[in-house]
Amino acid sequence: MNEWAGSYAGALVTASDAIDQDFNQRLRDSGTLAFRVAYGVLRHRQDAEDVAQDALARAFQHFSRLRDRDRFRAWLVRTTWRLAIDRWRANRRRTGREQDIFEDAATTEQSPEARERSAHLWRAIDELPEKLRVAIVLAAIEGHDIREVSRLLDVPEGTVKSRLFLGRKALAEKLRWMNDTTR
Amino acid sequence: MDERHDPLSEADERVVAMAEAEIRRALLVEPSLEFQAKVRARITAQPRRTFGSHPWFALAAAASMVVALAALMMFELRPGTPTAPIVATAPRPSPAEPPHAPQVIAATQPPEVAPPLPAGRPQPVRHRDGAVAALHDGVTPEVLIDPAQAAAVRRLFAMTQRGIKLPEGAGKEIVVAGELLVSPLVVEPLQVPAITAEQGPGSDKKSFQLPASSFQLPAES
Repeated sequence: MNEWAGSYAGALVTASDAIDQDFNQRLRDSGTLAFRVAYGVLRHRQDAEDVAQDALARAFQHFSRLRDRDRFRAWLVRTTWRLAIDRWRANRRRTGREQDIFEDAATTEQSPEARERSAHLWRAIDELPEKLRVAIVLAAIEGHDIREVSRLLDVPEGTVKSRLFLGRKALAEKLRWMNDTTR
Repeated sequence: MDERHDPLSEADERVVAMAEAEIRRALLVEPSLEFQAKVRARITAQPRRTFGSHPWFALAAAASMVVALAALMMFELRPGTPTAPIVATAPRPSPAEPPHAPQVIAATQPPEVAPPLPAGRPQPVRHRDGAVAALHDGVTPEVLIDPAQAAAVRRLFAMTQRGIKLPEGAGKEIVVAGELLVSPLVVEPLQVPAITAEQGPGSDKKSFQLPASSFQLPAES
């Protein structure tokens, strides 16, 4: 009896270890993607890391249903986006964090004109409808093509194509003045 | 053609290309070195979900309980199930107690009324079970009560016969039907003293009489 219980407990431990190893692999694969998705919304490194960690911790809880790599990435991206949008709205309500657009080191090294252009660009992106915004941001991360974005958002490729087009058109209308100043 | 789907102009294409390059550059960020360690720490800190902590587990348990209850109720209320009506007789008042009206606990079935048979033909003999016969032929008032209540009453009788004492204060909640009876309301006739004009100081019968001329109509011209 004891031998049987011992082997059973050993099997449980082994299964748990396998899940942990599997999840660690997903974490290495998709952790940076989650962070970038959150950063695309928040543009604040600390907040983005916090949101991505939260999303990954939730993903671990649902990992038994998300063993498939594609499903895991899609679930993670959508959850991270939702959490990041919630955080972004809460931040805006609390402080109106406009200055954090220039928070990271890459942008602080830019010239004042480039920084201003960047700020206008992100403001224009923030003003996009959410469906167009997520398509634009995901297409800009890691060189995702339309098929990859459609998998991540779980929508047909035609829908992604349409949203990308409408998003680009809206961006062009908002940023047309930049073309005049840079000419 | 829908205006929204017009292709972008060359100038707009340039602006969009510039914007997308800026977005791509901005999103080429890497998380901190401790990022993965922090994720693992957060996972370790949160409680692991066990089988019983899944929300669907609670839902399934609740649903199975409802199904079991429904099955039980269906079994109890099935028409084929022989549920003999239980007759309870109200206890007779002891001589020490004041007599009051018979106690009616609950009536669940109206008494059967057989249709009148044609005269001259022999009436078929109908066997009724003892309980129903007792219901119709009994002298003392009898009522039908719910099987669940009857079971509770039976348990109570068994307990009292065995000499088990009820806990103190247990009987306080039991409402005896006799106590609920309202004593008849007696309305005594109002006695109004006759009013006469002679009452009161300085009254005079003559003062109530109108002159006869006041009832005469004026003569037509």
